[in-house]
Amino acid sequence: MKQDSISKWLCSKCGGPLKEGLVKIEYLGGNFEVELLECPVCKNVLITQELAAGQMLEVEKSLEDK
Amino acid sequence: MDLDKLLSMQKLCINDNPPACNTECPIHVDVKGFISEIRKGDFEEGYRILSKRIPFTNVIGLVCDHPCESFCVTNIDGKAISIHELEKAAIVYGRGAKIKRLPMPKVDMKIAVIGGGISGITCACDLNQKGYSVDIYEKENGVGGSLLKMPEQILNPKLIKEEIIKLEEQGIEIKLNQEITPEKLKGINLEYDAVFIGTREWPEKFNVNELTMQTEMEKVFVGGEIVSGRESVIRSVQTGRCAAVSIDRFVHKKSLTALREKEGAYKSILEVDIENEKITGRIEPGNGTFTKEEAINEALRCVQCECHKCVKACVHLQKVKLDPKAYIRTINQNERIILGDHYANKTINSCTECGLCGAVCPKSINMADIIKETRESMVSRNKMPISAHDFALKDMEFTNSEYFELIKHQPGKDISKFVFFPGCQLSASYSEHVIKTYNYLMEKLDGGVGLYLGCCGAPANWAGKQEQFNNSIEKIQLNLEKLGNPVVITACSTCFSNFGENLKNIKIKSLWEIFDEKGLPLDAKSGNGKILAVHDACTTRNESGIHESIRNIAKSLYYNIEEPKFTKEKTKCCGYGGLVYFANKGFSRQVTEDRIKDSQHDFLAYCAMCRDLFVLKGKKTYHILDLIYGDGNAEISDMSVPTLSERRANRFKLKKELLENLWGEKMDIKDEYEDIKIVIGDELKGKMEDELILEGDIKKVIGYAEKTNNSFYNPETGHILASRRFVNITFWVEYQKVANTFNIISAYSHRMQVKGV
Amino acid sequence: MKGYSVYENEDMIKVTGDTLRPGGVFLTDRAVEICNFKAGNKILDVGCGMGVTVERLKSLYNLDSYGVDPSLKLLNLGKEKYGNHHIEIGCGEKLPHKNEFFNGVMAECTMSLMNDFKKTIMESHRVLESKGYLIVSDVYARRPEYLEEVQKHNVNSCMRGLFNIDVLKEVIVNSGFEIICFEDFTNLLKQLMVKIIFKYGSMSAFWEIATCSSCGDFQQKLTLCKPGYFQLIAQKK
Repeated sequence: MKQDSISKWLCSKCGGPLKEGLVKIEYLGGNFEVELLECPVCKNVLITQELAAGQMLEVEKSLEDK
Repeated sequence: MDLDKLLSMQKLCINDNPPACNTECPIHVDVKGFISEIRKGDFEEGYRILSKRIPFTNVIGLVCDHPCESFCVTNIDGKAISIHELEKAAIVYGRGAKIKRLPMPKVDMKIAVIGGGISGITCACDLNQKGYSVDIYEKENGVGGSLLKMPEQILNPKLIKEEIIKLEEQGIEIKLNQEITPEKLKGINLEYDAVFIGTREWPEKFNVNELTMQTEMEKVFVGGEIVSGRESVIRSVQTGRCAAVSIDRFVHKKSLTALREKEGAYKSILEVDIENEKITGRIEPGNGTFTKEEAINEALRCVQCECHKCVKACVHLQKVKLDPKAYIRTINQNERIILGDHYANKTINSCTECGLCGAVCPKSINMADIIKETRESMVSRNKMPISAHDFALKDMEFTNSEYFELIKHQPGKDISKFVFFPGCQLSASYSEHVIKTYNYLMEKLDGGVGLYLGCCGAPANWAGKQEQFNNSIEKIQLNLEKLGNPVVITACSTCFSNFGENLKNIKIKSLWEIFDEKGLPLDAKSGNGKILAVHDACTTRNESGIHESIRNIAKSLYYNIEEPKFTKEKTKCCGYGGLVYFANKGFSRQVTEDRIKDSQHDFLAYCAMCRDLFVLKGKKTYHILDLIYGDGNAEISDMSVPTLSERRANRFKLKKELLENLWGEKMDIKDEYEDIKIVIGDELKGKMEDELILEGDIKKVIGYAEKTNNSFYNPETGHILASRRFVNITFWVEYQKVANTFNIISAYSHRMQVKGV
Repeated sequence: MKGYSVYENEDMIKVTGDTLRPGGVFLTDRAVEICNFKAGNKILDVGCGMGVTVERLKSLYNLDSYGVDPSLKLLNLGKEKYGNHHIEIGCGEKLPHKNEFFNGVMAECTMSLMNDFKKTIMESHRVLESKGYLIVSDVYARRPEYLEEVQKHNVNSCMRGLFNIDVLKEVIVNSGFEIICFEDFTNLLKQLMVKIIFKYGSMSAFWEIATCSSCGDFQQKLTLCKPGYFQLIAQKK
């Protein structure tokens, strides 16, 4: 399931397009790697509202309720 | 968590204790149980339940003298449930039920039963079922005693004969036409291991132990009319049964008296409330015995006694479908084995800790105490989900920071006999009234009235953060010491209760009692007889002084007070208690809605959060300060509620204003990027309230993004999407720069941290 | 093997990249290190699927690796991809190999799929030479009291065969093994779960796709057991 409208956002700093890359995320001591959209030049990672309210929230809740 | 303490509370709960009909029956027939089966139309199961306790069910059941009926809770104006008629119906329609009898191993002992009346055959039957060899000596030509004298239409003699045949089939030897005199008794005593006498009359008087039926001759036990002195079918059964138990223990040389208090009728500890039940009249059998339909309808009148007062009063217990016994059991399991389960966490964080259950419980079992300890235990074992209370704890931190904290003597004085502690929520919702109140106090009280702006620690207390709460109290204690240990005047019920329970050597006084004592400001407007329902704050449910003061204030302003359902010590929570407003917002709304229904009139509250939560749900609510300081317009309460961001801003402004105007000090704190102008639509404002996002968070994200250009840009729309992490949350804002302002398109947040690529 | 097989499902393969295992190759490598397998050692991968591990053991460690799996579909896919290496059809309960043939037997996230894991352990004992190693990595229930509920379900994934770890340890010891080490690697399971959630949008969406059915409250029951992951290494006495 790709994040919606990939082509919509560009990096403000360098103006370049975003690509899917392996990103490290952390919560409550657990480290994970997932594929997210990011600027390969400036290393800024994009988290859309759908992602934050959907997948991220689900992961947070399941990790919180050990 | 003290498991023993928990367990002991579980035992206090009486909800599954037997009702009066069961306990007052001398042989403890499960009356409630068999009636419940008849309600379903299951006569056979009802019969089975009867046969468990009633010997010769087909006979005794038809002629039982039913003392239970007079103890039935519906026994007002003769409306008691016709238990005996239902008993008869169960026998008539259910006697075909298959009953399994397990064979007992034989005991090599012989018992003599003298007198084949009801007590005698009961005793014989019971002992036979325990494996003893029993001989009945009957002086007449047939056993049955008083049963044989009953009119045929009540008891068909055929039924008696059937039961006697069963007795003989079970191996009991019936010796007819044999009268046993006291002389012959001596011989019987030698021949048998024990003797039961149930002959109704005996030439000599016995010295009977009422508890065990044993006489002065240790082998001899009596029952029936010899003991009860009157004709009663069920008493004869009971005494015969009691003697059988005693005989069984006696021949095995066991204690005759141990653990026998509940044999025989006793008072039920179940307390049942039938105020709200409509008790209709008894259904009379049209023709001698109930038809099946009549029986079912009469059985449906039965209240099925139980104690669930707490569940009936509390929305939380209704929602989780747990009564205290089950709730404690769940927590016990949770504590020991499965702490941290998602469902259990949500449940435990959805209790408002308001104490209503404890107030209505006949045994005063208060789930609030248990839930509080459970949360503390969860926190100490790192099992409390952070997101539940994070925002409230951060809010407390803000309130205790330089943005709001203020501890001062009255301007121009260096001692404080009193100190005013308005609390964080009143300061957030009603800062203008706080100023007026402080001025009022300084005017009315001598000795200096200091001012203490801060948080009492309630969020930490409710979140189970015991250590944090204790530190907070300690700090407050020290600060009060520095002020000279003044009397603390609280405006908030939660502050009042927290301070009352935790501060040492400090007197706490409610602001409302002072208004009541010292009189209201002269320009307070009249209520012109408007009716208001007082909503008492749950955290001071036991403070009758506060309840009275509020009502006096309202009445003195010519308002008419009506008590809503659940008032004073039985008041309900508004939905904020226990931080449920943050931990389970959906459920919090249900709590508020449930409370609103308790009166059709407008509410009068004296807690800022109660007022705010009712207004949010559309209920017209006045804060008591609205009555005192309202400007008398037709609609005093403006029905507006501050947003989370506005609450913080108001607290900050309050401190700033007071410092400047009363103490001539300037406050020079500025938030990073505070001056950024943002525009937020109403829908997004609502989303931000729900998701606990502050305007300050948004400004900081934008400010940082504009400075560093670390953001994303959509060339089609011209929108910018940026983020910034504060402590443990990352906030994202999509915005559009228009001239000097920023239109906010959307805002969201997450707790997971993006570490890098 | 009953029910619908998650393993043959393409989506599962896509997410985990040919190996349906938490942690990927991390635990395989760890086992090789701890057991100190040398080049030429004969190792059996029980439930080898397409033979990814068999291939890795051969190419990276020069081990004489074998594999056995009941799925003809996966075996054929494997032969296509990796060429002719020693993978054949068979099941853990009845291994087609001689006695004392192997230096090591690995059951990576496959023991929980066995119809009779006790038989599989006994078979592993049989085909191992003296002092040979049995390596089991799998899911287990950190809350074994709720296992009954999960086992009733028809979904065939290793989640259904969640172990009660005490029971498993007892069986292994009674079959003639000595347990050398046992370690919890639940964090690897969490990582797989996070991957799945991000890829499919949510855990329930994943289960729907993976099992092509509404498996009802399988997920709910699953969380009750608190699934964890472990690696256990035992040595034949």
